[in-house]
This record gives sequence, C-alpha cells and structure tokens, in this order.
Amino acid sequence: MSDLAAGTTGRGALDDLAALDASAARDTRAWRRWLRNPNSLIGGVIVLLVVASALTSLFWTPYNPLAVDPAHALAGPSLHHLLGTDEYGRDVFSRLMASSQIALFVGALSVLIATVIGIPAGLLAAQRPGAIGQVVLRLADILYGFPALLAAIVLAAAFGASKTTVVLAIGISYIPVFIRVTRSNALVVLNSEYVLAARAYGRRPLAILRRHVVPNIATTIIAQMSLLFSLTVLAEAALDFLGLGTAAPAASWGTMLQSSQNYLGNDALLTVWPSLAIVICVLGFSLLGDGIGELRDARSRH
Amino acid sequence: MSGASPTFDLRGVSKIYQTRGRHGPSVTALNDISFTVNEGDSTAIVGESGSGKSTLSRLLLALEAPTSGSVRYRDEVISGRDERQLRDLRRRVQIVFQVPMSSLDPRMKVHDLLAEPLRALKIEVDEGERVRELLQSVEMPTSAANRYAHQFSGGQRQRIAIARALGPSPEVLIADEPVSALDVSVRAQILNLLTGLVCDYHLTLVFISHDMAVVRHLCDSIVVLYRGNLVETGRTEELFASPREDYTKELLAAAPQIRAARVARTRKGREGEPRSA
Amino acid sequence: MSLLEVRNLNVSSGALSLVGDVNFEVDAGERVGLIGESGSGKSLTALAIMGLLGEGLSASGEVRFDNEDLLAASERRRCELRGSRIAMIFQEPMSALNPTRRIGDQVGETLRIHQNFSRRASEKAAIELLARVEFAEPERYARMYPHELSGGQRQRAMIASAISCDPEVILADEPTTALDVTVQRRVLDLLDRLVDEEGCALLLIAHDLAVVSEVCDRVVTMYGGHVVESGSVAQIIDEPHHPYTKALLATSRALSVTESASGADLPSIPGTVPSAGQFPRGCPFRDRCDRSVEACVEMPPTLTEDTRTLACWNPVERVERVSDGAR
Repeated sequence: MSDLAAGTTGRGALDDLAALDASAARDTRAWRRWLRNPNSLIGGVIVLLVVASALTSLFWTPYNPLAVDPAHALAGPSLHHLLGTDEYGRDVFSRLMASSQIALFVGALSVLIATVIGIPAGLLAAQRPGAIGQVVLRLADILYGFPALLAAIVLAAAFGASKTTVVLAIGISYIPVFIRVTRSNALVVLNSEYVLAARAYGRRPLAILRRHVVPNIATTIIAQMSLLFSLTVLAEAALDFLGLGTAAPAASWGTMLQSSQNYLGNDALLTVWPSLAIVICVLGFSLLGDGIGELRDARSRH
Repeated sequence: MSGASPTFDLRGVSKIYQTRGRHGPSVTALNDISFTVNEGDSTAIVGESGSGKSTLSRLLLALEAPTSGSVRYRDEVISGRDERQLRDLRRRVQIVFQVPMSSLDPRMKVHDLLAEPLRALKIEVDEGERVRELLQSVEMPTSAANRYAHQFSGGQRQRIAIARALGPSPEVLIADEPVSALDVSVRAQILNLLTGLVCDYHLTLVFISHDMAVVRHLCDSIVVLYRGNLVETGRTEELFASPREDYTKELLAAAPQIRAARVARTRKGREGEPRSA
Repeated sequence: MSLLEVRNLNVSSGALSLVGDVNFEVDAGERVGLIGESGSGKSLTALAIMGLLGEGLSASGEVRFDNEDLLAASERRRCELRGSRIAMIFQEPMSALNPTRRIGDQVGETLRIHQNFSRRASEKAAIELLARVEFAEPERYARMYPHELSGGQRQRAMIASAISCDPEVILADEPTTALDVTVQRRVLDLLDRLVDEEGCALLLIAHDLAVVSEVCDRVVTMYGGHVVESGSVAQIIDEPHHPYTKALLATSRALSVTESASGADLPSIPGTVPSAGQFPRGCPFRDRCDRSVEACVEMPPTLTEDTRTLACWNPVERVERVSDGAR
C-alpha cells in the first residue's frame, strides 16, 4: 500500500500504546533491559573480557611478552605456547594480552581527549548559535578535514613515534565528531519546551546546560564514546602497523600484525591472532555502543 | 476594570524574524499590536497557527524582545531587559504549555520538576513541604513526587505542569493552549481546575487558544489575532453576542457542535446507488 | 450482510488484553463514529482492521470485509485491499507523508500500486485529486514537498490519496484533532462531501462526540477496550443509555461555543483512564461511574435491541436531557 496510508500509526494509536508503555515502564530497572538486549549483552561481555585481560597482563602473563627465546621461534600452537611463538620465540598469547593494555590505554586516553574538548565545545556551539557557535563549527570543520593519519605523521615527525603520538593524533581527530554529536543533540534539548519553561522561571544558561541538556544527551554521548572507542582500537592498530605509534619491542596488535607479515608463508596463524583480537575488540565496543543507543531509543519512546 | 495600571500593557508591538542570516527574507510574526491585560482578569488571546500568539507569549515572558513597540508589566518596560533586571518578573509570571510531555524534562522526577523553579528563583521554602502542597492544589496524590512524567496520563502531566507554574506563587499565569492536546473529557477537568486556581490564588490569566468554546468558559475578555494582526478585542459576552469581524465570526461558526440532526440531513443518491468505477 | 463486520475482535500484547470482544459493523455507504478517550482502544481497533498492528501486538477474532476474513487473510491479500478498497487517514499527516517525496508523487502512488497507472498517468490523476480536495493550484502543490504545506493542506493531500482508488471504506483516525478550528471545519466538510460523492463507508475515530455527530450516522462508544454502547447518532445524542456515553456527551455539550455558562463547573468524568491492564474487573468503567452497583463487578453482557447495543448493568433509563434549545 502507499506510503501515505502505511507510513506510520497516528498519534491516536500511540496514545493507546502509551498506556502499554506506562505499564512496562514500571519495570525500569536498567540492567534487566540491558540483559534483554543481545547487542549490549554480547558487547558488554567482550569489553569485560578485554578489560580483564588487560588488567591481568599488568601483573601476570603466561610468559614475559618481551622475553626472546630463539630456540622456540615460530613454534605453532602447543600446550606450552597456547597460540605459538613469533619469530623471536616470544609467546603470542602473552603478547596479545599485553597488547590489550595498549589498545585500551590509547582508546581511553584519546576518547578522553576528544570528549574533554569536544563536548564543551559542542555545548558552547549549541548554546551560542551566533558568531561564537559559527567559529567553533568552522574550527571543527578544519580539524575534520585533517585526518588522523596525517596528524599522526606530522606528530611523529615532530616528536617521534610513540604512544603519545597515537593518543594525540586519534584524540584530536575525533574532537570534531564530539562537537557535532554534542551540538546537534544539545540543540534538540535547548529548543524543547522544558528548557523554555526553565528560562521562564529564571534558570541561567549554564544551569540549563547542567540540569537539562547534559542529563538528556548523556546516553547518546556514552553510546558515541563506545563506538568511537572501537574505531580508536582500529586506528591505533593501523598507526602501529605503519610504524607511527608503539615502538618496536613493546607489544601491540598493530606491530604484531606488521611483523607477522614477513612470515606469512611460514606461519599464517601469526597474522590471524592479532587480527582476530582487533576484530573482536572493535566488535565488542561497537556492539556495546549500539546497545546503549538502542536503550536510549527505547526510553525516548515513552 | 480596576483603575490601577494594567498588568500587561502592549503598545505598537511588532516582531519580525529574520530568516537565513541578516539579509534573508523576514517573517512578520506580530504587526503593531496594542492591548492591555488588567489585573485579576482572564484574558484570552485567540488565534490559529501562524497568528503570532506563541510569539506573543514569549514577549510577555520577556524571553524575546519585540522588534518595535514596548511591553510593560505594571508600568515597567520589560522588553529588552537583561536577566538580572527580570528576576522579579520571572517569579511573578509563569507559563503552562500546550503539550505537557514536552514541557517536562523526561529525566527529572516530579519532585525535581516542581522544585526547580523554587531553586532557580532561590525561594526559601521547605522543598518537600511545598511540593506536597503544590501536588495537592492540582489534586494529584503526593506519591506522584517520586515518579517520572512519562508515567502519567496527558491530563495528569498537565496538572504537574500547572503545579510547577504555581510554585513561585505567581501573579500572572500564561497558559499556551493548555488543553488543546487533551481529550474532551480531560479538557473539562483541567479547565475546572484552572477556574478554581485562578479564583483561589487571585491569578491574572492570559489564556492562549484557538478554541472559542473553551475561551468562552474561562475568560472575561478576548483578543483575536490573525496572521500577526490584531483583529478584534472585547469583553467575552459582547464579542460572542455580536462579533464584528468576519474572522471572529468564522472562528465561532467553525467549532463542531453536537447535532442529532445528522440523519435528517439529506444525502442524495447515496443509498443503493451502484458504485461508479 | 454488512460491508465491514468486526466480530469478537481481541487485541493483546502478550498476556495483556488491550481490546476485548469488540463487535460492530459498518454497512456499505454508512458512516460510523468510534468514540472514546485516549486508551479506550479505538485506534488499536482501527489498526487491527487494517492489519497494521505493531510488533508484539496480536489480534484474534474476525474482521470480515465483504465477507472475507481479513485476520485470516495473507499479508499479500491484505496489501491488495489496503489503499484500494480500504483506505486509512491518520492524525498526523506530517509523519504519515514521506518528507523526501513530492506531494503529487505520493498522492498518485496508490494508483500506481493498485491500478498499474504509469508514472505520467498517476501524476495527472494526482493533480485532479488535489483539485478535488480543494487545492486552488493543484499543479503547483503537486510539485511541493510535505514540509512546504500547512497542516490542513497535508491532511487534504492525505484525503486525496485515500480516495484515489475509490475505496469502499475509509478509516479516519482522529483526522482533525491536530488541526486549528477553522481548518478542522474545512477538512470535516471536505471529508463529508467526498464520502458522499464517492458513496463509500466511513469509520471515523474521534474523542469529540461533536465531530462525530456532525459527520456520522451511527456511534460506537468504546471504553477500556470494550464497546459499551452503540446506536444511531440521534439515539445516542438524545438518549444515551450508558453512563460513559452520557458523561462524554455532557462534556461535549458544555464545551461548546453556544453554551454561555461562564465560570461554572464543567461536567467532567472523574479520575483518569487507567493504563492497559489496570482497569477494574467486570465493567471497566465502574470505578469512574456514578451509577455503579454491586452487579458491576461482573462484566455486563452486551444487549442488542433493534439498532442499538448496550453493555451496562445500571443504564441511564429516563432521559436526563440536557437543554438542546441552542438549535
């Protein structure tokens, strides 16, 4: 049938359904809905596993991830070395664990940089749509046109390749994303009648941001943080792979992937393990982000 | 009416919105409007979408300034003042909006919704006590304080919005289409509540609506707007008895009315006639 | 045999019953008003008839259209019927129209789907349809996008689309509730005229008895997912038997431009419509009813007398007639 007739159910029907929602809303315990949502459940479990392995690797790994053992170089998976060893005889499983530290560290720190600058700037752009807002948006555009890779090359040239380079490069390049997401969501709240009501009873702009805007956009922002975290893991691996990040002996999924290239013929599995780690980690964070987003959508339907 | 100065006095008020930058096309939301709202009166501002009535409510609240003309509240010009000078107005003039769901922050419990104006205006009261009082004054159970707005029906949400507006003990209540989103039966409840509150708290009511039937029940005088222009003003009885302007007559004639005569109306050639292909 | 017969229609969400044992029919060319407050189940009933219930909602019973059970029909069959023989008009034309496509394109779409009109032919038909729904410059409006139209214009475009395939019945769910008074008047008159001209049946869903009384032949009152009363407009307006219908009527009468009782207490129904699953056992209206008796803890049977039905243990017997002298 036509879009005209089937497009949507009218307000009347939604009113009937509102009665339904209200009864369902009594069951608002967040964790219940959390568990019922497969995305957030699977994403949450994966993220927990990655975090657990990173934390564990801080004080324990099966082998020292840096310990060279030429006698057992390029050994396949065995009981001694679960996932085998690399060209220097280092334990792959231990190196994967240690790498998750770097992935999480870089991810957390760059998302932190992006949010600490991006969210306030986004709020400012929303609150002051005039000249100030335009300036913020144009700055965001400029940053947006300056990709993480380029930023990393420039930073690496200036300060040398290191974790800091990666963190700064990724963090800065994600600032405009947060400016835009924050601004567009904040604008919706700022144009709402409850903000108009708050202005009418004398709430000042800053208090409105704190009391109305931030709580209402928090879920969206957190979902976005989780999604960006997944992209960060990918970007970090890419930068390391290109030798713009973590320096050689230290373990990271990107460097492992890079060095395994030379042994593709000898031991293809060496390439598989870090790739798999990256894929699972990225999947985990993006599923979690989707799940949080869906949770928000479910709530906003009330 | 009372001989004292009017509560609101609008003189030659125009509001022009500039769209798309400084040199873009402009929209005249209000064009040279003058009228007064007297203390203790219930004044209706009647108009349909695009009449400028919502712009007018923002001007009365000093949330926006007119492009030209002046808006006075008790002899004081309020248009174009900064927030510090409007402290007093913010307490004395409160507003209730059309769709209660969108005028209540979904993230706040009813307690906070009602306490917010008190906190913002630094009114020294026992918060819990005042919230209970407010809920009682709109005939809601005090247990409502611990729930969220979405857990209530449309009529109940509007009661919450009214309670919030009453919090700072205002002199003037601006109601922007407060019942037009509600079912007819709930509409009557809310109108009865408003009538009672206006009387109990000696409120001056500015009631914005497109529904002449509702206006007739609630208001003493009427201001009719059409596309930003003032069409007609007058006391309610007079205006209903002898509307002068065509638009006012149209508004009156348009309202649906109970008619049992439907069956008697002739609808020629309907029954039994073959459908045309 | 009626054109549309709803027999023991139930709509539920899991174990929660939202619409229970709804029975009514719409004859060919007849106009039936379905009234009740939000949460009475009237919109769900309409969606169930169209087979457009959302996820998690299921319908049982029978919806017989031209003697064919739509609930038992395949989705394919229902798609054939929707838009061509049964059309629907929604409350919010803005959300029911696709914002990215031109009005003419959308109005003509039903013809392309059901009557194999070519794009060119459907464009031409759309312009004619827009003229029929009183667009002064149909060619110009056909090229516009929904956001360029006013609420009333969008609703008229929806009506144009609904009548495009000469449907036998139009379901209109609160078509004028979101509109201004003068616009509502125009849309109601238009709907009235077109339904006449087309000779099609109308199921008009509204919460305002006044609207229904102006347009319809018969009224079906719903409350708490049940039909509590039905009858001709004259019967219901002059002699409502169910306390709920009577209360709705009293409110609509009092809230009228011709009633001058200023400041007086308007008659209203105490309390609020409970949320689904929170209605009392037995008669769903009994805790808000001023005539409730002991028997009301049991669900009252629906009694049929001539052209009326009633489900009430303690109906309003004598007409406590409110002044009708205004006209």
